[in-house]
Amino acid sequence: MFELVLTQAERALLEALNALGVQYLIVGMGAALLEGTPGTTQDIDLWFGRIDADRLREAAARAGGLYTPGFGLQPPALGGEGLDRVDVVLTASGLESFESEFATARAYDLDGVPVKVLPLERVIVSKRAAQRPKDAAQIPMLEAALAARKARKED
Amino acid sequence: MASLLSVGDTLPELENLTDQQRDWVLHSEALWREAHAIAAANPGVDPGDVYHALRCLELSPSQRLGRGLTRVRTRPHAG
Repeated sequence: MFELVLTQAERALLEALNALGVQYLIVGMGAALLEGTPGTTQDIDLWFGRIDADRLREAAARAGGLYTPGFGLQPPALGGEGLDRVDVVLTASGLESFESEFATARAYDLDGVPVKVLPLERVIVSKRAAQRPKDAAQIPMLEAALAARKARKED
Repeated sequence: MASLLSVGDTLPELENLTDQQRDWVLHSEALWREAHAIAAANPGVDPGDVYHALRCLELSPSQRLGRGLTRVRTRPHAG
């Protein structure tokens, strides 16, 4: 029996997004982990090409949570019990348009839910472009994982 | 890694291991060899990082993500 990594709410959210036709990509370190990087992260970053508040609200409701379009300093967010690890990403540094990146994304089965994931080489491009210290610190590990993937011909 | 390399090609202590333990050690050493070869072909890449990446590639995507998420689930999956 395999171990489930998603909460019930996370799983329900991803299933609802898929069912509602909402396009999203798992990006950032979550994507890097799925691609085989031995790193760590606190969040599962979901990059949405377009914010459709009605469908996001419906998806969140099906997961027992909520969607807020943001107010004040609060950016658009998904929340509620079991959804605290999910972050909404609106822009991704250094990448092409969402549509372009989505077209070359990798497909994974995550706890039985089909998801699209930003390839590791594109995660590295984004991390380099972000120019944040925490991103720069992760790049050597990301490069090592990319070298391992290429040697194993996973890319 | 250092202890494995220091004993050369023969590993007498393998005789004291169970079959499962012996398989793990031999597989691990093979991964280290592969990691060093990959690192040698990619200047600046650390062989230790490559080794752990190779280990991760042996896991399912869910297992990979699960190992790296530092915040535990707030609500266990009931399914």
